[in-house]
Amino acid sequence: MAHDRPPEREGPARPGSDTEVIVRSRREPDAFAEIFHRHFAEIHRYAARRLGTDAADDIAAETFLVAFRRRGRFDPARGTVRPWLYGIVTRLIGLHRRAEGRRYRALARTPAENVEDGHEDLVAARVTAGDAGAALADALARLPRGERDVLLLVALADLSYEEVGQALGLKTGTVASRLHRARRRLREALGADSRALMTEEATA
Amino acid sequence: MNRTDEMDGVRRLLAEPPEPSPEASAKALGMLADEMSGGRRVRASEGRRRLGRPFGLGRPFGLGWPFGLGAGLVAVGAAAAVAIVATGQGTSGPPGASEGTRRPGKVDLNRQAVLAAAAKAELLPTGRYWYTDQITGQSYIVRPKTGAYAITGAHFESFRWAGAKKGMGEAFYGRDIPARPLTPKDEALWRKAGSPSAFRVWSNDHYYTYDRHTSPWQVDHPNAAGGGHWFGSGPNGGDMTVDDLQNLPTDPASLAARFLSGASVPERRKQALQRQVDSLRRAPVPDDPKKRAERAGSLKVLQSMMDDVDGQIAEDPHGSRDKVLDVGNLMMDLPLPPAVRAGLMRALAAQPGVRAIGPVVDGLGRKGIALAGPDTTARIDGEYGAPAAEQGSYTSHEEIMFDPATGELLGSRDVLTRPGGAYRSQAPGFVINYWLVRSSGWTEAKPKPPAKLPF
Repeated sequence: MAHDRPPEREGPARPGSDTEVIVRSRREPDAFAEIFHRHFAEIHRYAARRLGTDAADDIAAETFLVAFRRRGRFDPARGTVRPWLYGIVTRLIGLHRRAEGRRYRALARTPAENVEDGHEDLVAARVTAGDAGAALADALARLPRGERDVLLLVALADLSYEEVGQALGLKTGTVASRLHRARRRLREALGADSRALMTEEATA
Repeated sequence: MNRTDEMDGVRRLLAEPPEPSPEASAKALGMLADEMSGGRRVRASEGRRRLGRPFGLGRPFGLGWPFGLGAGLVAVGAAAAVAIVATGQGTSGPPGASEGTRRPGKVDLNRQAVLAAAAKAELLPTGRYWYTDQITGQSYIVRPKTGAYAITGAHFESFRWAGAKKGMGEAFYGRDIPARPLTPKDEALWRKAGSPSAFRVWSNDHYYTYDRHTSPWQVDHPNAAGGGHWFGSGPNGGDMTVDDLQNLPTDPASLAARFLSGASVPERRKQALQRQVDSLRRAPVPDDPKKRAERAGSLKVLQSMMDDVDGQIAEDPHGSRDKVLDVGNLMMDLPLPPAVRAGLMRALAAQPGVRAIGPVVDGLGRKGIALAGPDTTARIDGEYGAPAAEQGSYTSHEEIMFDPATGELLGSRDVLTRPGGAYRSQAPGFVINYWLVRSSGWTEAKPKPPAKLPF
């Protein structure tokens, strides 16, 4: 599940693993720009999937400021840089959880209603997600925050249980049980929905 | 219909968004460049204020505070214990001694501040726990037909304590306190508007409704094993320990060198931006037209940030506004030995671009004396969707306020000096935001946040 970002992406002129770069940046602050170049787009994408592009612009930028300030506290013995960044962005997203809930509830409403609101991106998402989308979005909005964080780090960021644990400061067992509960809630929501749908199809 | 796998469903529902725009990326990179250059301290102060009015959406305070914004912004108060309080005074020197070269007008303040701090040191109750109770508020303009008035919104009280030593514990509390009309004149206009209990106002990039509720104290990350150190105030944002506190110098020159050495903060910012531009230019121009456009966009944004910095340098060549904020940060967050406090006040008063402005009254009605930074201009355009009434430019300065009798820090605030923009109908002296120390000090018993409201 875990995939390390290729450190050579920026070319041989700037060698070093993420961890090496962070350690170096403690003496040479400018070196931290490399962490930005390697991970900004990915962190932005994650924030945008949870909160939309506009909020993601702020949150992703803030993530790297926080990470830079905290680089002295990054402990290579406890994990890699990617989960660490995801931990930071997840906590920043947590400051916007009401907005996140609103977004999911908007996703759960009908496309027509959203078009009037100018939420074309939401409409597209709903269409892509198919009929199950409304139920899923509604279930996501209802998930306890701790479970939602775990679920979305696994589903969207493709982190392993261990990495989610690093990101959120949880034991792996806690990650597993939260994920289990979250998936069960979503399955229940989907199950109810698809049963209803099958009934509709049968009578159509 | 096949049953959807819920994980795939979530991935499809929260579909891949477009890549960040070149502007957003460049802006984020510019902010980071700024931070890497040492603009950190400035941003920390701004960000801290922003806690009360978070960027974007949502409410102040959340579980993420100490972690997310905490690093540089919210130092967990910790204590240096009795030893510091008792030993701090030795080297600060008699008031006014060897200060003859200072410009007149500042001497009084220096004398007062040093005397006051020394007096405070003698009187300071020593104790096992250090606490600080602070209030942040941001002014907003409500614009009913009956006449616009100002309120203080994003009104938030925080309380934190820490034991003198590791293992004695620490905790951080916060609560929303009621939004309220800013001045008696505003209160009259509020009554004229029917004394509404909620205020819908423009806040950075969205409308937000502040109301008159008080939330219960919410404790955030209490740590029974904590205490004895704090975050974010050491070099490069690292921890500071009790030893660090005890070893701080007390003479203004050393303190200035240590904490106010950002004489060229704007220049360093500019250099950092320049380095990003240079590195973009050095890299080969990509063949992919999309990447090429991205590169051009980044260059453009970085250039416009550099232009802004040039404007800031012209208004505030010594970065003095930041220094006022920095001293406020240090004094709010750390149980500094009194002699260090006094030294910092003297150091700040001696900075170019910082002047003593005489008597002031703070948001809690307390009389104080103040130092102020230079006038700087804020320009609000429509970039974040601000309605016309909120757009325009104004100038303001940052003030730091002290109790003349005790030398204690009262707080700091941003004060309008040239009306304009959202504040076009306000008079100079209008308080744009404040950050007040309601109370702070040492206790023997574990401190508890007060039930009583400050206003």
